[in-house]
Amino acid sequence: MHALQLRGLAKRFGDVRAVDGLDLDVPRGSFFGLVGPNGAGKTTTLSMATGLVRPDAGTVSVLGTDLWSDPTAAKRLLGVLPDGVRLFDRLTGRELVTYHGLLRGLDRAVVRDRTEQLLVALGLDASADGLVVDYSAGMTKKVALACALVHAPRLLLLDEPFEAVDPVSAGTIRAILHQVVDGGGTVVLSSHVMELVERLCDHVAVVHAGRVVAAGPLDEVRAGGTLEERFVDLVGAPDRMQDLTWLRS
Amino acid sequence: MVALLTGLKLRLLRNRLRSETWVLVGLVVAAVMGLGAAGLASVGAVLLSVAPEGVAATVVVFAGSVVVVGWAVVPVLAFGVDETLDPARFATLPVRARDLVPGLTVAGALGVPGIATALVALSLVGTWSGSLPAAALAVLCAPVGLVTCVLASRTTTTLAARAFTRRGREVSALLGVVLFIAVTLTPSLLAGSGVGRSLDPERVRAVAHVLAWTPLGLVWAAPADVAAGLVGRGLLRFGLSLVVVAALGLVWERLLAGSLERPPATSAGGRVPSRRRHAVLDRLPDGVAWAVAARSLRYWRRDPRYVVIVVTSVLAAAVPLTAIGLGGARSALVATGPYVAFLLALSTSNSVGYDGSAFAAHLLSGVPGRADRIGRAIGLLLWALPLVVVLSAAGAVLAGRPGLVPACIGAGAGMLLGGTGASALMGAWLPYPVVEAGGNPFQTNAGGGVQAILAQFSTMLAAVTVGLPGLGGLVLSSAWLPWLAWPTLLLGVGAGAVGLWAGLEIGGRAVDDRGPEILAAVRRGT
Repeated sequence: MHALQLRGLAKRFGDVRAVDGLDLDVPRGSFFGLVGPNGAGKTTTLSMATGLVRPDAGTVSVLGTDLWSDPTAAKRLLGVLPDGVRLFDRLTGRELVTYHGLLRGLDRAVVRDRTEQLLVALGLDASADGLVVDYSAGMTKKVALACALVHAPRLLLLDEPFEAVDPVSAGTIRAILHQVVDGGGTVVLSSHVMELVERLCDHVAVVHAGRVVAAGPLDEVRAGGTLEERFVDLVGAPDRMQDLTWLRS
Repeated sequence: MVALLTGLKLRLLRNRLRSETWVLVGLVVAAVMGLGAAGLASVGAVLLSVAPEGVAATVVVFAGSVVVVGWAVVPVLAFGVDETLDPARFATLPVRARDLVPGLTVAGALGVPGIATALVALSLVGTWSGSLPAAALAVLCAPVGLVTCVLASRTTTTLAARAFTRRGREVSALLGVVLFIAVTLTPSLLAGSGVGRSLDPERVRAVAHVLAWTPLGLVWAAPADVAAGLVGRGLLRFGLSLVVVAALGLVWERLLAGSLERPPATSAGGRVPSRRRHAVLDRLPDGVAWAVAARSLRYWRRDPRYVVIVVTSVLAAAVPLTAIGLGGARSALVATGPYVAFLLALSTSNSVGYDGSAFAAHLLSGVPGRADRIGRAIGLLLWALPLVVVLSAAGAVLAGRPGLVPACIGAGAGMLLGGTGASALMGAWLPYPVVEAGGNPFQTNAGGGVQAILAQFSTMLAAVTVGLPGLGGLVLSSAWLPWLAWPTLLLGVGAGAVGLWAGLEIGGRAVDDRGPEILAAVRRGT
């Protein structure tokens, strides 16, 4: 059984086919990287896999549970860091993480303990009583990650988790994600930083024009080269580079 | 540079119009209203030319000064800081503030307020058409007056953008709303209380006399002097008005240079101010619905948009009713409670729209729709129900009808409960996007448009339907059947409770069924 299985996923916005019959298998316990150029459909795919956007066609299965026919059960297993979504930012960091825990139906005492631990682990304890609207972009990302983790999900879906995060915080986040995988959980993250995916993930899928064009264990996909070379091969970088001689002044 | 910046402003406007139909509609409405008002004012200005000696000067100086103050104050208070051609955006380019000032001034005058002001300023030529030299000076004064207005507004907004933190901006926007309501309601208050009659024309003339020597009135007073034969004084005032323009230009250039060197921070990077933790809210009962209620209660205090709702609801009901009461029809005060209840209940109908994309948290967590609806209702009722009960009882007593207290409470509480139910239902069926927190509270339909109007109208209809037993009981018991006061309490609250229950149940099911569609609806345009 896969941690996440997408079959024939499709979504169009007006005339644009954002996702066009996408299939994806994420093995349990894998650290899975989703890469693709801007506008490839990564965010739309993750939105459909987490219940935020209803697909036009296709199925989403989370650890064997169909998300769109039994959303309550499937969402219990999922922890999500969505991209381009606001937080309830008039709450303080502590209140926000607590809120997410309570929304998940956790016991108040459990939520309190986990919230404090997550805030410390992510280095947010000093600003925990400040409103999230006053946080920097990196702090906002970290508090959103805490919200995604508070109910101990079996499958984490993270859309651009390292964007705007400083190197020290990125190290902390990486360590936390490795803990999740070591504990038998599964992590899926999207990114367009190839080096990061190469360093972090053991499985990878390349998305292009709403479809998966390559997927599997990292070494299989990159086939001897670097992930970036393979990516450019698959996605195709048109030979548009002109010689900008006037730049050499 | 002037042509470049003007072109940029026009292009930005054109691109916004092309992508958002409702912006175009809004612009057309603003243009029709603004230019219509300017046209009327211009006709008035020309008619002043036949007014008795001295009247024209007083009116022109007074009105002109108000216009300058309006330009300086309104954009800061009411509209947040206007960001079209935000000077901070030029920070990375190698331009000097001195080069930007003329272009940004012209760009600032382009727009409905600028064109309307220009029209009125030019019509002053007609006011002074009795004297050729005065009319000639008025022609020169029109552009000077317009530039004074634009520079005043640019200076205050640049200053505000630099001086205010997020909190400061939100507080000033809130003050703006209160000011706006106060100004719109003042006439009815004055008319009701009879204060207006004591307004003395002599005093107005004296004020105008002083204004004529301030930067606000100089430019408007100059042609009046010439018309009155005081050519020297007129030219002196005109000269001084040019000095005012130069001074404003210099001040703005300084501020602009500051913005270009140190752009105001958009978010506090390092220090985040702390909040007191809330003992009561941390001890609400367990359960998802109570968690939603606690969050909602925090938002009623912390989100400026919700604070605006509370302030406007209470003021909108209290002020006209007080005015009517002072005017003699005291019995109208019995409507206070039900009216405030109606406004408060309706204001929550689009609470998911106020969440915006943050609603995704509920969807991702699999929050049951019923818990979502119940939580939001608790967050309102916990404080609004006591408030409405007190206002209803107070309204009946102040109206001199203490016997109607139970009927008023029945109608008020029934309206609040039933209206909250109607909002819970319609909020799930017809959600629409609204402006984000910290944005301009007057700019509602940010893409909501027709759906917003439809949603508000149907929520109103549903709320009034559910509140009808209470309202009907109140009318009957106040006019014909005094014994109905107590039964009305039961009837109103009962009908309201049934409406609330139905709204929460059906609305909850709709949230379960349509979660992704609701999210998509409130995210549109953002």
